[in-house]
Amino acid sequence: MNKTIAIQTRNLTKKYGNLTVVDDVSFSVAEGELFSVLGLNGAGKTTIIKMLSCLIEPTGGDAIVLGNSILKNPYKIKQDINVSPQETAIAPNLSVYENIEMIAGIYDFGKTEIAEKTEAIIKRLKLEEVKNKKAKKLSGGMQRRLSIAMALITEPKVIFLDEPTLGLDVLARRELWSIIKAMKGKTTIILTTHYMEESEALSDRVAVIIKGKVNMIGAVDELLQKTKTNKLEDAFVALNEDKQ
Amino acid sequence: MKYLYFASRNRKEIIRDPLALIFSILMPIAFILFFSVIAKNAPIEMFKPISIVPGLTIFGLSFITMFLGSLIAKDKSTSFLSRLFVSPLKPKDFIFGYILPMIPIAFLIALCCTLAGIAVGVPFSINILFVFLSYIPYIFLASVTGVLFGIIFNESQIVGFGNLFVIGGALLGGMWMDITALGGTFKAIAVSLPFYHAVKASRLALSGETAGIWEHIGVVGIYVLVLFVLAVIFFDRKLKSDNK
Repeated sequence: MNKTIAIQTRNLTKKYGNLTVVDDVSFSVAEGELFSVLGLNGAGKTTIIKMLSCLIEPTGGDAIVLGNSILKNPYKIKQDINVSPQETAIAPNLSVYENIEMIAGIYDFGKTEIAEKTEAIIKRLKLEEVKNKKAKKLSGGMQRRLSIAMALITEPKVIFLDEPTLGLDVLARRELWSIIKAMKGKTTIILTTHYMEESEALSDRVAVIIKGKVNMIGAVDELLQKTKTNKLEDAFVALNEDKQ
Repeated sequence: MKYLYFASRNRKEIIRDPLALIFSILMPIAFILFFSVIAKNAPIEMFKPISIVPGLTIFGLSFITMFLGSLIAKDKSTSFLSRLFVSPLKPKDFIFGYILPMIPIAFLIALCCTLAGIAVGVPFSINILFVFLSYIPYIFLASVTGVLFGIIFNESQIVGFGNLFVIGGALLGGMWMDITALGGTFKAIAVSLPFYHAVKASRLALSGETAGIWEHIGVVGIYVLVLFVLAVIFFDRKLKSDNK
């Protein structure tokens, strides 16, 4: 069955002076797919996400996101994507409700729609008990959950989750996994993470980035077969050790 | 009108962390009371309420630059601005969204200073309405400068440059002193900057000499236009910058 392509990168490259951070990266992501971008610190994962979410421009190549070029039509793309950044990036003095409501307003939903959607997302992400609490007074786990709610409220066709469970305890992480799993199929998700078990549990496909280049792409099973390992973490280590 | 939701967030952030706001109201009021006591004991023309109150109100309004600069610098450091850079907001939406909530805050500062002025002897007349109108260009000047500072400087740099704007503006604007006492070069510098003209316009308005205020308002207006264009350019550069 042919799936519609949500993201297609074409020789995407980012250089800072003589340093090439992302090097000629080409891959495609199908609609509704959860695609993990894995790599060591400095491998270029966040730079790829920043380019795809139109935060920074590539030095070379292009990417087509939902049919639009990141170079030519960034504002068209921005209407249909959202991001949960590495840092929680919330308004500290606003309540949970106000944070979510503000993002919905920025994306131009009508007043009634904003109220309905905000209530719905609060319920979906189990934020009811803290909905009137200031964001700065939430626990780390709740702040992460709020950050994802702020990304989901706009009903993006593509969502970028940049290390969404960083610093969370096991329970909070598992809770976020179930939220992410529930999004699969309906929303295209690009995930970066340092937790291999997280990627293994959630991803449809994985791209391993080493020194800015795509080293291997495929479903977790395919990566395990190719590297003759039993766990994604072992496969990831093997691929990186090969390139050191 | 997506920037209205963003503006609402900025208003709440400033009002819910009110120490700086209280300071910006209490400080000029304390100075008004202080100078009115001096004026009673020593008949110095500059310290009379009709002269000192407009100057010190402009001084209080200068703190808007600090509020906005600090808020934007904080939004940059917490990645909150990066999250919004992924949204469909354009540079002008960001600038209006930051400036708009400053207008009622500025009028609150002006109102408190005027009430203190009336208490120490400023005559209650139609001229008070004119002096309020004469503050408007400076309110925009202080706001646009705050946006520019916030986008260029980081949180600790804002403290230095914000203080330079407030104190430098007070001295070169002749808010509580006669700038002719500064001598030729300093006077020439003072006259070329907007602070002197903002103070002069408000003093003339309070004295009922409204015909003379336009040239001074014109100078402040030109500064507002130039700084607004610069703010749009810098915001646009930040939106496209690799360093967010």
